[in-house]
Order: sequence, then structure tokens, then C-alpha cells
Amino acid sequence: MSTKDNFLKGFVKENPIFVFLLGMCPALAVTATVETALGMGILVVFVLTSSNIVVSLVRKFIPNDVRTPSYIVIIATFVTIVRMMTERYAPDLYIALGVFIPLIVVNCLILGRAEAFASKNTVFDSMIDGLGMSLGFTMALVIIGVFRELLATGEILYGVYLPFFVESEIAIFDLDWLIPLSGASVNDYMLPMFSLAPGAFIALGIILAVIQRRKVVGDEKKEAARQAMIEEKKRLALERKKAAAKKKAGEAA
Amino acid sequence: MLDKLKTALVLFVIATVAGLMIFGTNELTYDGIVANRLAREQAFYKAMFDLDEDSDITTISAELDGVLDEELAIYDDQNNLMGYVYKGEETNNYGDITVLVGVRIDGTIVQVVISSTTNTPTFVKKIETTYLAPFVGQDTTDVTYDERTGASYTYGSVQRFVEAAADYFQNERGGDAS
Repeated sequence: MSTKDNFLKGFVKENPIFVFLLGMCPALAVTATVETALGMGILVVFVLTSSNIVVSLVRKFIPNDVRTPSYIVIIATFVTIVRMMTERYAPDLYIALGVFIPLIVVNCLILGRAEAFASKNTVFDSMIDGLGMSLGFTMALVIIGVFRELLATGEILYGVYLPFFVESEIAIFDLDWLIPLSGASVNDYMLPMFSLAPGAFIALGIILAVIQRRKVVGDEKKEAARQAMIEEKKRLALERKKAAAKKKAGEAA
Repeated sequence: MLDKLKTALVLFVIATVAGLMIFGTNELTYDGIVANRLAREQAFYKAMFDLDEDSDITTISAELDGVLDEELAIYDDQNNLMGYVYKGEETNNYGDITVLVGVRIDGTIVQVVISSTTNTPTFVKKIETTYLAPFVGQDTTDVTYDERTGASYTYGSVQRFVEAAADYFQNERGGDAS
């Protein structure tokens, strides 16, 4: 597999959330808003890439029977570091994510990549795999976050201060222009359930259904094209057969 | 035997390196984290008593026994007593929670704040947006609580601290109210 394929596979083909359904806890818990989804994604990028590099570095020294506990210790170390750094340098993000930062330790995506990839590949490939997978994970979190925030509030990152890195106010999208009546707000017509746990499951279900539908339609098109090609081949073979029979009859005559 | 020793050695090395990395990060970040927490609490105190963000406030702290951990007397930059903040920390079934209850010297609750917590963020957000505001303006002699909140452990902790703060203020600071 080329470096480019290794990097890109986590975005669509092997997306951890939409294809493998890994790391569902943060995918459901912190995606009520885009800002927290993006924040969690950034932390996972750091933890997954770092742990993949270290696991790949020490893979030949770790005895097989203590492989998993060793990986857990490595992952927990990076999660503890990221928790301290977040509380120091992005306190608002630390408060917003709360208990879900320590819970990155038990994100099966991270242990899964350590086991399935980093323990069998070179440091460079493991780093690229970690980066690609975690960015794919972040992309999926943000997609769910956009879907939920829009349905729950009618806004996306409208008038918020991101709890990390960006000091100025963000104003990406607001549906309030849909309701020109004075005194009314689009918030009154939205579905706040989507910012709560049931909404998370429903949102994820809808997104997975759309992705699955696209996959089924794509497969059906491929199957139809394959059938058409088989029919065409059959037709050509029949024509050849007829032509051969005609020629034979002509020669006989 | 040698295999077991090798396994033990590898685990020891991994744990030692992990410990050293965490120790180093802690050394680098500890002072900043403490400063952040202090700044956040100071911001809460100023917001509670409508003080200017840039103003200097003086806090006199007293440790308490029982449900509450600390009482802070808040003075503005003119050295006027603005009120008291009662700080309570506990671990409920959702995790740790620290609650600040601000009481003006006339016995009115000015604000109730969850200053830090590891409780489920969605529940905390719900409590903060819906169930803390009704405490504002209530008198410590007669506080009413919401009887039907879904996030019962978080709200339960808040209720315990508000009750304790109201009782303490009435019993120990009642003179100020009159």
C-alpha cells in the first residue's frame, strides 16, 4: 500500500466511525456541537499518532503475552499528557469535554490501530496510519456535530468562541434569516432533542443510513453494469456462433 | 524463568518511562493549571457580586467541617464586604463536582455555579442552563428546589451544597442579614 493510500484510507474506505463503528462513545457523547467534536478530534489526532509511533518503535521488545497491557499503558500515558496540556492551554475545551478526555484511553480505535497496524509495521507507516485514521475520525465527528448542531439550534458555530487556539468570534452559519418575523427566532422551531443522547443515536443512524444507501446504489449500478457486460458478451458469442454456422452451411452448400 | 524476567523488565521499563513523561508534563503544566483554576474561581466571584472584571477583590477564606469545605468572604477594592461564597466538593455517582454558592450579606442567593466537575457534560450543561438560575434571588431562609430533574446525581449534589450554605449562613452569619 502506498503512503498516500495509507493516509487516505481512514477518511472514506476504512473510516473508523462510519465503516468500522469504532470509538462510538465520543462519537455520540461530544458531538452535540461542532466545537467540542473538533476539539475531541484534535486530541485524538495527538494521542493516536503518538501511540502508533511508540508502539511501532517498541513492537519488537514487547513480549506477546503482555502486548495489550503494554499498549494500554502507552495510550494512557499520552492521554494523561494530553489531559494536562488541555487543562493548562485550553481550559475551556477541558471543561467542555470533561470526563471524555480520560475516556480516550478506552477508545477502541486507538487500541485497535496499535494492535492491527502499529505492532506490525514501520514507524513511518504507523505514523501515517495514525494521522490518517485520526483525521478521518475527526472528520466523522465534525460531520455528526454539524448535523446535530444544525438540527438542534439552527446554527453552526454561530457567534461562538472556540475553546482552543482561536481567540476571535466565529460566525459560520445561522438559519435565523429563514424567519423574518420580528421577535421570532429559528431556535423556537428547531429540535433540541438532537443535542441530547437520543438525538445522537438518531443522527448517527440517519448518517449511516445515507452512507449505506449510497453504497447500495453504487453496488447496484456496478452489478447492473456487470450484468450488461455479461449479456453483451453472450450476444457477441451468439453472433459469432451464428456467423460460424452460416459460414459452415455456405461451405457445405 | 528468563522469559518471565524479560517480561517483567519490559513492563518495568515501559511503566518507568511513562511515569517520567507524566512527571515531566506535570512539572511543566502544574503552575499554569493552578493559576487557571484560581483565575476561573476569581471570575466566578466577580460575576456573582457584579464586580468589574478588572477590579481587585480580596477573599478571606475559612475551612468548614461538614458538607461544605470552605467559606470565602468577598471584599471589593474599597474593602466593602460584598457577601460570602460557600465552596463544596464531593464525589457523586457521576464523578467529582465542585459547587460555589454565592450569598449576599442580606441573605439573598446571588448565584450557584458548578465550578469544576467530571460529571457527564450533557447533564451538567442541562443543569447549568435550566436548574441553577431559579436559585438566584431566593432568600436563604426559604429555598425551593426542583423536585423532578432527570440528572438527579448532579442536581442532588447542587441541592446538598445550597441547603448547607443556606443553613450555615442562617446559623453563623445571621447577624449580617439583620
